[in-house]
Amino acid sequence: MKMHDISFLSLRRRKAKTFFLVVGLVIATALVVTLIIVSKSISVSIAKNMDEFGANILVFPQSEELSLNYGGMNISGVSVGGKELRNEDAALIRTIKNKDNISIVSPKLVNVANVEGKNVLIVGINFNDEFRLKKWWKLDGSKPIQRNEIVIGADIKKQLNSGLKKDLKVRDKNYSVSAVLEPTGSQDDNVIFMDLAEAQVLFNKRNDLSLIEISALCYSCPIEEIVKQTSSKLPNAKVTAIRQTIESKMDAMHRFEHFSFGISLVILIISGLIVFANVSASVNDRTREIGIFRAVGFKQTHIIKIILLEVFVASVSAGLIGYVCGLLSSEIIIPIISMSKETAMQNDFNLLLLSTALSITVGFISSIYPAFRASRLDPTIALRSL
Amino acid sequence: MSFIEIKNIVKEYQSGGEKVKAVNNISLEIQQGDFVSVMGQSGSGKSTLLAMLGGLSHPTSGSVVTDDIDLFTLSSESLANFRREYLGFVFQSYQLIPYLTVLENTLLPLVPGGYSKKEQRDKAFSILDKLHLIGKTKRLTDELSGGEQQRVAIARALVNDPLIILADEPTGNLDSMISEEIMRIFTDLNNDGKTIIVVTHNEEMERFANRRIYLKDGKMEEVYNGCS
Repeated sequence: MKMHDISFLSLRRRKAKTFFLVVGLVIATALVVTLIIVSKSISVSIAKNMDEFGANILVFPQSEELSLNYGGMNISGVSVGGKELRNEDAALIRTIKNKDNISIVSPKLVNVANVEGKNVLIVGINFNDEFRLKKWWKLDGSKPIQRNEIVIGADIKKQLNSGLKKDLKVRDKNYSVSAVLEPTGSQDDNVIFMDLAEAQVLFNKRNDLSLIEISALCYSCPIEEIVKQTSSKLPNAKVTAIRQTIESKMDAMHRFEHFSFGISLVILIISGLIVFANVSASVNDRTREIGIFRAVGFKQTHIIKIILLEVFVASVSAGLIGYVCGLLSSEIIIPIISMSKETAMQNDFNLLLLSTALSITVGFISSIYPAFRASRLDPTIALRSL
Repeated sequence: MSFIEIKNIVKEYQSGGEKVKAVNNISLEIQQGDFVSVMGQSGSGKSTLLAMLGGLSHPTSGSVVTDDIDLFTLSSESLANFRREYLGFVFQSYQLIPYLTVLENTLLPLVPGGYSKKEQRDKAFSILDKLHLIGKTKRLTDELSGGEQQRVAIARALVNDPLIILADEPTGNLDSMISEEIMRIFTDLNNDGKTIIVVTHNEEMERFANRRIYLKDGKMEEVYNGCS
């Protein structure tokens, strides 16, 4: 029999005590694993939703000319010869190294046309992309299906005395209003939106684009990197990140992460104290046994080794079990908290190592003092019979 | 030079804010091969004296020198080595580890000694055979009778082949027939050259010893030498 055999025999034959020791550590580990997975999954889900909520990168043609203005954003003049953006440029954006971080690419052609005697901004868009990009848009009517169907802003409706199902003549061509945008408080209220391809034909700018709006998932990738990669793909374009949008999103995310971290820390401390009490009680229960070991010639270091090895084995087991329990409970909790079955569980192998390391650390910290105290006990007091 | 030399040993305890002398200035010499019984009423200091002889408890003052080793000048680690090499303990309530089998309990003192598994088993089986426990090696100790448990405790005390056996009320929990059997084992060990020091308050048992020491209130009152 070797020293470690005593630890293993103790764990194996004192099943109830081993069970409670492991359960205490499993609860602590599982709680932390659950918190980490849940908060990370919810963070990623929120970040993804926030990233998709409007553009965070704009691509303009390089231009020395004065710009038109759309939505508070400067748009380069449209007649700049070879420097204009093309349809292919929008496709090229999807080929950057971090293409997986590109959520929405929404190319636009902006022009001014006289409609019913008034100069109006006409924006050609891909309706499907635009509706994904502008989740706050609410339509009175239905999404355009035909190329001759358009969406008008709330102010356009008033100014042109137009409305649903009515026709508007743009450059001598009739377009049917399939939907009116509910007021947004932005320049979208003063815009007529039509199909991009139709606008390119109408304004004789086939294949040309005025700007491209990009929604990038920047939670796991620095936005500057995406901007840099896009710029290198489109050397004739000016690629700009919308700082305010990104900073506010990141600020919100950091606040959420700090909140999660705070809760995790509190739970970890409480769990640690419970485990500490449990392990201490377990070691204290063994004072008589420790007295026997000392009486038959075991050194203090032997006693510490036996106790710590037991706690180590229990901790490693608890770390692995706690990880599995954490995964299972996360799977149940995430859909409830996120109120969506689509929120993906964020798990990686490092979490298994982390949970095991955490369990060992908590077990070790909780047992080191009782183990030292036990090893220094006067054997006669420990034995109580002498 | 005596094998064990106890000089002016004192052990004080704090009890309710007062200092109580459990052992009060005892001096004693024990020769190798002696069978000593330490008698006295409860609280007379017998067990405390035994604990100091075994290096389990430090005296307030005085010294214990065994085989020229001054026990209380040793470090805690060296004292553990001393106990393993020189001493075998037998206690009234057996003090066996409940989650270990008879064999595992027996070879416990060999674990820190760096013996191979085969050496450990050979030594343990040899002792268990002498004590008629060979058929019960795989049993957990709480499955045994009191007499059997005490024999396991004796086997554990002997497995290291120590020079001295210290026994604290070894028959205290046993009936008279089993007590006789246990004391005969001690006599046999004494005949083999072991020094035996037995604490007991059972006057029936003192007849096995060739030296008898009587303690009262921590002081040594009488010493008898020679068999009765």
